[in-house]
Amino acid sequence: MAGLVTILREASRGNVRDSATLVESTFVLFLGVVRSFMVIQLGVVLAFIVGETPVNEAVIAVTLAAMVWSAVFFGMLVRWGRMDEKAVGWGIADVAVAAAAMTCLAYWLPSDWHVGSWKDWSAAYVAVVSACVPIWLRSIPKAISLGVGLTAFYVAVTYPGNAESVLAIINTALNSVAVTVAAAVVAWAGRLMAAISDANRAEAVRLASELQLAEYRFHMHNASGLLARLAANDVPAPIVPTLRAQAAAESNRLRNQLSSPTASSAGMRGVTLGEIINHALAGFGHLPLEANTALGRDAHLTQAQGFAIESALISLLYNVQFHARASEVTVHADCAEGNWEVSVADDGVGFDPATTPEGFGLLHQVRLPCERAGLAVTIESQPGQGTTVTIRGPQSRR
Amino acid sequence: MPDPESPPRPRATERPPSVVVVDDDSQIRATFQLAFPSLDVVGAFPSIDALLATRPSADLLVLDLHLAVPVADSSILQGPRAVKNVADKGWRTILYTDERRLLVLAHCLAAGAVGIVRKSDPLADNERMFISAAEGKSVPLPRSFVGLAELLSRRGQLPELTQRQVEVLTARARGTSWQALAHRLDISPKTAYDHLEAVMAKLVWFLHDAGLPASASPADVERALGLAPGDLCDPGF
Repeated sequence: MAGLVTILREASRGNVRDSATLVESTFVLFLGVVRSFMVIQLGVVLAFIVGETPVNEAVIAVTLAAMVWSAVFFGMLVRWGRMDEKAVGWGIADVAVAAAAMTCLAYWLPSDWHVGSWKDWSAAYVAVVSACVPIWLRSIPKAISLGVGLTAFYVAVTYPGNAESVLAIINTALNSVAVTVAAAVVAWAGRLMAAISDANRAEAVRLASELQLAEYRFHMHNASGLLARLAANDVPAPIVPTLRAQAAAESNRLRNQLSSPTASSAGMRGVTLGEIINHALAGFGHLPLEANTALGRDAHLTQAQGFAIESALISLLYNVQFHARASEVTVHADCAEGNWEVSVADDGVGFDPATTPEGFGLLHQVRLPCERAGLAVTIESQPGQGTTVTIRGPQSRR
Repeated sequence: MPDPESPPRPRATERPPSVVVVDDDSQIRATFQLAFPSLDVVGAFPSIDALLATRPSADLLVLDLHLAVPVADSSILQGPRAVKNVADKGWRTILYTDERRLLVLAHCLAAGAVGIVRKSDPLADNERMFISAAEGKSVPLPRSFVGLAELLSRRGQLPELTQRQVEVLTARARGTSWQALAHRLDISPKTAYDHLEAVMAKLVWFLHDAGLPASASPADVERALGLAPGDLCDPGF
């Protein structure tokens, strides 16, 4: 199947994903329509000039050659479906054929047939070939220069002996330049739009895959910590049922993630901070946990903020469970004047933020996802003085 | 709320505090004296009716919050109504329960209980708190009451708090450690702790004075404390 037909058919079914291909194919279709009508027009001219004098065989041969060339050029375009580097040689040949044809017509036809008569078809042919240049030549300055140059060549071969028709020649030339510039502008704008659209799409795909990766790493980090804890020999017996319950919850989260990878980020339905905190705290009942959240529980969040906060809280509580050796953990929420905050404080071992880099959990599960959701994160800690992580953000509109 | 400096144990020569226990759990009634040897258990009853039939005098009444299963059985006196009943009759009453719902506990304090002891805490901690209460001293409330005090303070319900007390309350509600808090305010951890004790005492007075009927519903309690949902996002943060 010819390339152009395939591309356009697939595009009509929504299967062509890159805009650049579609735009180039549309240009080819435009060029093909113009050139196939040129073939018909040359056929009509041929029917009229055969048998007339002083038309000689050479003029008939040039007209036939232009028809055949245009048909071959159009055929190649349909086969390719879109223009690329190999089209440049064919484009240059197209311009060369046009220049040669105009020269032959100017040489062999009587000079009073050159202007105002379709028997010399140079005027129409130069406009069509010039208008096609921006489609196979991507550089706009070069395409306009070539189109204008071909038009100047037309003037150069037509003007001698036709000085009295200078007004018609000038306006024919201006017409040819106008369609060249107009075609160049349309080609430039079309390609720019296609490039922007493809770049946006690529960025969306990149962001989506990054989000997927972040969620995957989030679950892996939590699950690997739990597995290590379950595998250890020194787990106190009273903690084992809790670890098992957490393992079951993590297993469920992983399964949900596998079956609906985008469910967590779908939709923009609002949530409240209290709902998010309640979700996150479920499963950590064995920690010495105090939740003072009444002041901030009614703060409204977007779905994206809620997801980032819930993930961050779960990660922080796992940190406390596995590393902090805390006797007190406090989750506090507050909200006033359109801003809310939620903090997780423990009285565990703490660390020195100046000398200890933020670990995977703090950086990739707390700080970066929250900052991507437009939230501010502060981490205060001192060795032996516990750790406090605070997430702040603006209320979303209901 | 751990006390950084434990109160002194009573001297062995003193008379042990007398307590009376009301709990529907027969195991607790049977083993209370064994579990708390420093107390003198003068009576153990399964219900308020049984208590009132005998009316023993004691330094402290240890009262289980839930005296009936299912708890909806309104013919049995329990919860805030039970607290009100015995407190009005002059018993110094402390709750002995693992109930965690803050408003339920606050309602019981409002009805006249002097404190709350958690059954799941270590026995030594329980005993220390029973002795404190029996001697007429204040007993530390569960840590969750810090959150309630902060909420009431923000709602303007605890106007008599000093600036320092509010600072300590705000920091403790956020889990700031005693060490870090003392360092920040340039006071000793003991002083910081005393500030919070004062806040909690004012909270208990506030609850006693809140005029909550013992039969109030949870929604009534929220309204009476100025905690109706939806109006917590207030200015002044």
